[in-house]
Amino acid sequence: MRHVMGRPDAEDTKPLTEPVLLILMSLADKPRHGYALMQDIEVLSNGRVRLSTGTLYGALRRLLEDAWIERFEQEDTSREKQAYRLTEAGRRQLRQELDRMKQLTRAAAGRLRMSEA
Amino acid sequence: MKRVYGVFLRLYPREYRDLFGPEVLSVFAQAAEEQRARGWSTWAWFMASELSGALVSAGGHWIDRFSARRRAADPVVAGARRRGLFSALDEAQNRIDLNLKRMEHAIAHHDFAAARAYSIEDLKAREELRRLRDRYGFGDDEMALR
Repeated sequence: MRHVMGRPDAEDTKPLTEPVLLILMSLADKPRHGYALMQDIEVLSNGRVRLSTGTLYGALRRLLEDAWIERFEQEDTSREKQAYRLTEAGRRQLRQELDRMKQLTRAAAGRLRMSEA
Repeated sequence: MKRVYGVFLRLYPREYRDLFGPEVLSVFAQAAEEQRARGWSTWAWFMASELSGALVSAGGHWIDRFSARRRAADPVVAGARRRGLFSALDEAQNRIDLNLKRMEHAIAHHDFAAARAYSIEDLKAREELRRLRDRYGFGDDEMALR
C-alpha cells in the first residue's frame, strides 16, 4: 500500500498509478484500441508490465469517467474493437506527471551527487 | 477459454458489461491466442493471472460503484464536482473565443491557410463544448445563469 500525503487541494497533482501512466503514455502519440494498448504497454515497459484484461479495462473505465480519454469513432470500429484517444485534460495530466517525475529525478540525482562527492 | 472468461465477466456490474463486455472478451481472446503460441507454461501463467485479475478487478468495480454513490450524496463533493464542470465549460468556451479572434486576425491579414487551421480548431472546440453540455445536461439557460 502506498502512503502518500498530498496537499488537500492537490487532487489533480496526485501521482498516477503505473497502469494509468502507461495507458496515457501509450495514447500520447495516437489513438489505440484495447489489444494494441496491451501490446504497446508491454513494449513501453521493456516487457516488465503486462496488464491483464481486467486491469486494463478497469483503468480505461476510470479514465473515461474522468474524461482524460475518450472513445474514438473509426470507420472500421465495431463493438469489439473500440479505439481510445487522449483528451486535452488527459494530455495535461500526463504533462503534469512527467514534470513531477522530472523534478523528483533531479532532486534524487542531486542528493546522489552530494553523497558521492 | 473465452467462455470461461465470459462467466467471470458476469461478476462485474451490469453497466460495465454493457459498456465493455464484447470488447473485453475480444481483447482477452486475442491475448490468449498470442500467449498460447508462446508455449503451454506461458499460457497457463497467463490464464492464472487473467482469471485472478478479473476477480480482483470485479471487486474493485463494485467498491467503486458503492463509494461513488456515497460520495455523490456528500454535498461538499457534489459542489466540488460542479466547480470542476464549470471550469471545464469555461475552458472550452475560452478556447472557442480565442480561436475566433485568431481566425479574424488571420483573415484580416489575408493568411487564409492559418484561418483554415483555426476554423478546424474552432470546430473541435465547439464539439468539445457540445459534448460537455450533453454529458452534464447543460442547456442554454444553465449556461447563461452561470
